[in-house]
Amino acid sequence: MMTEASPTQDKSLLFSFILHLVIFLFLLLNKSFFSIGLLDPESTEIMVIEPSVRVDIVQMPSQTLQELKKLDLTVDVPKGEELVIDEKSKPAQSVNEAEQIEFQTEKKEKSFSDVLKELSAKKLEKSAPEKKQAKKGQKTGSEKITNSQQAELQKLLLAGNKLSDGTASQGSGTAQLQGFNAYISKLPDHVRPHWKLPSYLMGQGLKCRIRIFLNLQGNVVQSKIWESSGNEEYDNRALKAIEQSQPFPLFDKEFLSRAIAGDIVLGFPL
Amino acid sequence: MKPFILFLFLFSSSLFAQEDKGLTVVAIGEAEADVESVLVKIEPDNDSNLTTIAAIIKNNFSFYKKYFLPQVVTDFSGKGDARILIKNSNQTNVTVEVEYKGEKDTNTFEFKPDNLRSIAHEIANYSYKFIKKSDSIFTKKILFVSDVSNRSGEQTKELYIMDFDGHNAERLTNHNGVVISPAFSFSGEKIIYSLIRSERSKKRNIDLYELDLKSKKSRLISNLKGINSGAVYLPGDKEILLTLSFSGNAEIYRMDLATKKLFKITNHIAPDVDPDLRPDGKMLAFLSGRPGKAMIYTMDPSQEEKDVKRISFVGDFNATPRFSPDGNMIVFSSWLDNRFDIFRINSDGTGLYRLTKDFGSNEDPSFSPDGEFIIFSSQRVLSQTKATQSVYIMSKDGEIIGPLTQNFGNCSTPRWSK
Repeated sequence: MMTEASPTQDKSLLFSFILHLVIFLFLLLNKSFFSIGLLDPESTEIMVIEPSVRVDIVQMPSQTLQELKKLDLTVDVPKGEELVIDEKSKPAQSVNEAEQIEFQTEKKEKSFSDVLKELSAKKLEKSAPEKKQAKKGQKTGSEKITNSQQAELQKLLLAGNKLSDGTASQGSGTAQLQGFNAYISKLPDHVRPHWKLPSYLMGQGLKCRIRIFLNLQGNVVQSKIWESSGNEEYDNRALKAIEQSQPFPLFDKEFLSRAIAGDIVLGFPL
Repeated sequence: MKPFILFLFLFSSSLFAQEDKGLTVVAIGEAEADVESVLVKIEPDNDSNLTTIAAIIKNNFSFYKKYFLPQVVTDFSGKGDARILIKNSNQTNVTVEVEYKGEKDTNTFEFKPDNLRSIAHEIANYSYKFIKKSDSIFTKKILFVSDVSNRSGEQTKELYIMDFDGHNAERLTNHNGVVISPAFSFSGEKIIYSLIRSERSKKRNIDLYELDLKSKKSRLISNLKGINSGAVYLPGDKEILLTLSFSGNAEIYRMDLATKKLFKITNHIAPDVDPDLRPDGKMLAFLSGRPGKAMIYTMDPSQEEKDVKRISFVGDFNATPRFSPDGNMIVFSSWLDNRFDIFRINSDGTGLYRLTKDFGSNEDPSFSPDGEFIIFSSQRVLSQTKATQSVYIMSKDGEIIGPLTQNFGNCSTPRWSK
């Protein structure tokens, strides 16, 4: 009985065979099936992390480039999050009335104006018992908000100025950075102070990428030139910058496997 | 059941792939310059001419303070990223040895005791070129206009030329009028400029002249009715772009210098003035009143109104757009807080930066031929009736290096040689 193939068994065998074939082909095409893929740069999917805040210019900048360079960018702009500042919430003296400022990338989480509106609502509730004050100046509520948010907003505007140059607007920013990528996005600020070039190598459009293998202490176990610039000194300078940046910021243990596997590639400059 | 398990396996495996595989590239950004020490040594070290030359070379390198820290030393003792040794082999030649990163080069220069500055600039440029593999500004010249030769009561401005560091200022014109908007030719042999004559005639025309630097002679190029100004040479020096207002409205034209034939470049009911060419001649930046305020536009100057694109969208009054030598940036002045200040923008309209602030009223910016510096005129109000205007130099990022003209009357419209 068992050895005799019934028509239904034949059918399911065929089905099973086709299914296996489909799965095999899928995995083959997916490439990730083969761990060798990791070692072959061509076959790996690359995600590039860049700042993704864009600022539309609405007035002449009041800060000079030198001042912006000195500015400590403490404002925490979540990468890949849309921030829209509308007419009402913006500080009057800093934005041209006729035009609108937008910090935008692709995904909208919670707009900055919403945050401000919420805050404004709260403040109004609180100020209800203080109606006398409110009568003195009708705008007290909103003015309070502006004042309390003024510094932060001003910072945000400045931060936007700082980030608005060239490539900065082309971040991939498909989603808010989380986990491992959030960790990686901290690295540029960590490495950049050590990234220096002699004058003759500057402004030549050279570019190299270096893959780093970290341990749990944040030290570089190995750094490999993944894409050479073609100029030995340039590559060496980039390697030196990485060496001098040790130890790297600490990361959660859950990312250890990825850090050890060398999933981080640093682009000099991109 | 079996297919279901397989699907589960498939699903989990692709999930696994998404979470744990794939390299992540993160952009570190542009590198900062590593400041390198440049040591200058002379032999014999008591030679007064060589001491002067060494001091000038040191001063030259200190303009590039972002890249170099120059020093005159009596002994190298193996130090320094770059070493320049200057020897006075005899009274007719100076031998220069440059060493950088283990490589050495030697060159001899003709010794001119009456012009130590020019030989020092040549040695500095040669050394800079060996280190940085590109030309410096040390042998370039700057044009500007000044009222320093005015007798009392006169309101004239004549054309002057000086070295890049502000020395050797030399008067070029004697029109007894007001010279405006000078520009060097690509060959560096000719200068085109406009003149407002101060003679008391009812017709206050702005005429265009060309000066030959060798013969020091000027010739009239264009005196059409109205404005003939803001001229710049096209590559080849055979044609110019300029603003003409004979039609009643200021437009930009291309003019053949030999035949004086005109080709209209802009054509709009609003005035279009102040053309500047990208050094390859393929893009024109100009100022236009099209949006109701003076704004910066770019276009292809090969045909009338071709690829006109607005670059600046803010500012009350923008003026004098000037390209960087690579054509990627445009520097201009803009009216802000009751004065002019210098701003920089990428020529695609992105990356607007302010460069000057709290530094008087700053106008007429001009990029150096190597793109590292911007010269401009800066005006200080001294009292209600007195103000002084000088030429300053700063880095392309707005770090002020210093004044180039001092106690030289009111100096304005500085322009680099190419």
